[in-house]
Amino acid sequence: MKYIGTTIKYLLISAGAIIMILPFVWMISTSFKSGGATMVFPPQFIPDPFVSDNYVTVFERFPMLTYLRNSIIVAIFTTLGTILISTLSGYAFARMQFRFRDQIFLAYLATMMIPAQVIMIPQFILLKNFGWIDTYQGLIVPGIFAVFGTFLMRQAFLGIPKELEEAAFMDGANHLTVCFRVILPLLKPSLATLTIFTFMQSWNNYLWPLIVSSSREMATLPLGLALLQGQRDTDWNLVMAGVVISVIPILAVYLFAQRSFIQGMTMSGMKE
Amino acid sequence: MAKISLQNIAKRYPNQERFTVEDFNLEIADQEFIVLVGPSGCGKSTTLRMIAGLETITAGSFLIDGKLMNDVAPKDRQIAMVFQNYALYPHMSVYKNLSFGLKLRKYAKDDIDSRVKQAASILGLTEYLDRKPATLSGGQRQRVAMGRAIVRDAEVFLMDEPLSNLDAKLRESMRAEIAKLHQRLKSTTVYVTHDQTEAMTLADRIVIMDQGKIQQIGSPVDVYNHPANVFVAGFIGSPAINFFDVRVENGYLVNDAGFKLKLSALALSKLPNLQPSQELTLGIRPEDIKVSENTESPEAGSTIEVEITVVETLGANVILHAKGGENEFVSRLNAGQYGRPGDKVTLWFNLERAHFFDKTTQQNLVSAKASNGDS
Ligand SMILES: Nc1ncnc2c1ncn2[C@@H]1O[C@H](COP(=O)(O)OP(=O)(O)O)[C@@H](O)[C@H]1O
Ligand SMILES: [Mg+2]
Repeated sequence: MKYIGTTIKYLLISAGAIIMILPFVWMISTSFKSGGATMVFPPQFIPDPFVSDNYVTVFERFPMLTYLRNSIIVAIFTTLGTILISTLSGYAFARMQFRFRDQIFLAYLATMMIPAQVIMIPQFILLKNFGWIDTYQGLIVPGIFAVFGTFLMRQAFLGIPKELEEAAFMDGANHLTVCFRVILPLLKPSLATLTIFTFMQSWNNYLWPLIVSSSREMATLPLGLALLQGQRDTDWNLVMAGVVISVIPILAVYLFAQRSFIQGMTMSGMKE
Repeated sequence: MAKISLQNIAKRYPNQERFTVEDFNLEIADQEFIVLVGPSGCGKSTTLRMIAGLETITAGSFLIDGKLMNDVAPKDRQIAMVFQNYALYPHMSVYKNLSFGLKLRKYAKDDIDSRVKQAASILGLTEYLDRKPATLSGGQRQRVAMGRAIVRDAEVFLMDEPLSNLDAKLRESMRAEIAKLHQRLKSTTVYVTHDQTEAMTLADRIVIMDQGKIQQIGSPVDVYNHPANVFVAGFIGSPAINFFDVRVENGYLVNDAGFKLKLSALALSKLPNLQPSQELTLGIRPEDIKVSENTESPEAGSTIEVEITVVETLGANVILHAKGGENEFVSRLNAGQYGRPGDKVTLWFNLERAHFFDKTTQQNLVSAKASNGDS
């Protein structure tokens, strides 16, 4: 009797999981199909014939390596830059004393309410004046000033007992030492969150690269994947192979960050 | 060598109208153990943090060995501090916790190692050097916090309620260890606590604070035997001193609640400026109120008939709570049988050890000199 409730719960959860995972299964399955098998009815889940050539073909026919390289460079530097800027500004807004600190923070926070589309054109003009169109700087720099990251890190810093910093000051540390060697190691969960969030956002970003990069040389994966879709007909098996390739780095980052997320959860040494 | 001088120190926090600490004057001798004591919120931590450099000093001068330190950064003050919640670095092992400050100060590697090992052995932490703080007991964390202060041979130790997170038994043993440690290291120490027992047992001199102001400075014996005012008398001593609002009438201390005691010649002689029918607050410690046995024959008028309300048996002592008229009495007696709640007993008052305070100014009417001359 008492198992019935549990059983129903698990059935519902499983149904949800299947719905979530189906597109991924379909993506992987399609990436191994031959050109003719992508559109057959009824749909095939197990590819027949099973073709792995798509993964080779997509690299041969398109500059996948260039897209991949661009995406990796942009995502990594955007993430590193965001972490650096968010950490420093979050620490300053949480802990340093200066005039109008909270007002400045609120103003900065308020910029989150401005839709990206509104600032897109001014930002483009600005970068054009910098001569940053179709460059890595143009793809990376506007992305690293993340209000959300500053907010996240500020809250995290506020959650650390003040005495910890004061003890470090008494030990002879300066603000930078306190920030990077005393507090940041305690903020792994927040850093992991910020890393996953920023990396994914940068990796999946389509609109900004579309605006800033004009040449194929500077296209990132999302742009490249769009280019895989032809004007009239699309080789879905090739597109899906490209998509699978583009998903792998995200998975890697996620797994990596998740480990330190869990690690961070189990660390605590204060007596409260 | 570290003499500390606090001259007219005051602190007002931003956006606050009132001063949190005011008129703070204190000269601390080299190697002295000073305890700041007072109720929660009276400004003890604020004072300590100004010495540490963690709070700015609003007004006044703070000197170490004659040098003005008001605007010197914490790390350049040669001061070590133990925090109430220990503030250990959670992600570092005990060894790293102890060595962090030395590393930042660029001590040589061997020197760091030998200092850490020595501190660990003094504090009994040798076998825990590889552990993270989270895996240590409260007492061990407390020791690490102490260790972080002592590795550096700082000139001045500051401790903010370092024992308040420990259970009663551990607190007592750590208290003794702190006393031993001070005898050994002889660093000038400023110790903050709200616990008067800790203050009495550790201090060379006690500084009693209330509402941001120093109420009295003196050795534990001094402040106990000659409290400067009603606040100090009430704060120091456990169980707390008995207070009675009385006036002098024809050589008797009386109040409308049924209190009547004859002022002895000796007690009177300590109060030369007494006005007829002056209003007083009489303070008398529990150990100076005894149950009068029939065998003694106390001086007439030095006793009061009361009814026992509560008897607390503490092994060596009995604390007797009693009521006479509307007055409540607490008496500390040697172990023995004195009766049960509801019984009538006669209490005898040792007025020679009583304290007389002006009812309006709250100040002790007997100057410290006069009372020392007597005792
Ligand atoms: N940073 C601060 N800003 C404003 N008021 C403060 C601050 N720190 C302490 N106070 C106030 O100052 C008073 C004294 O605090 P504190 O020195 O911590 O007292 P104690 O240590 O004696 O309990 C308290 O009323 C407290 O609320
Ligand atoms: Mg305090």
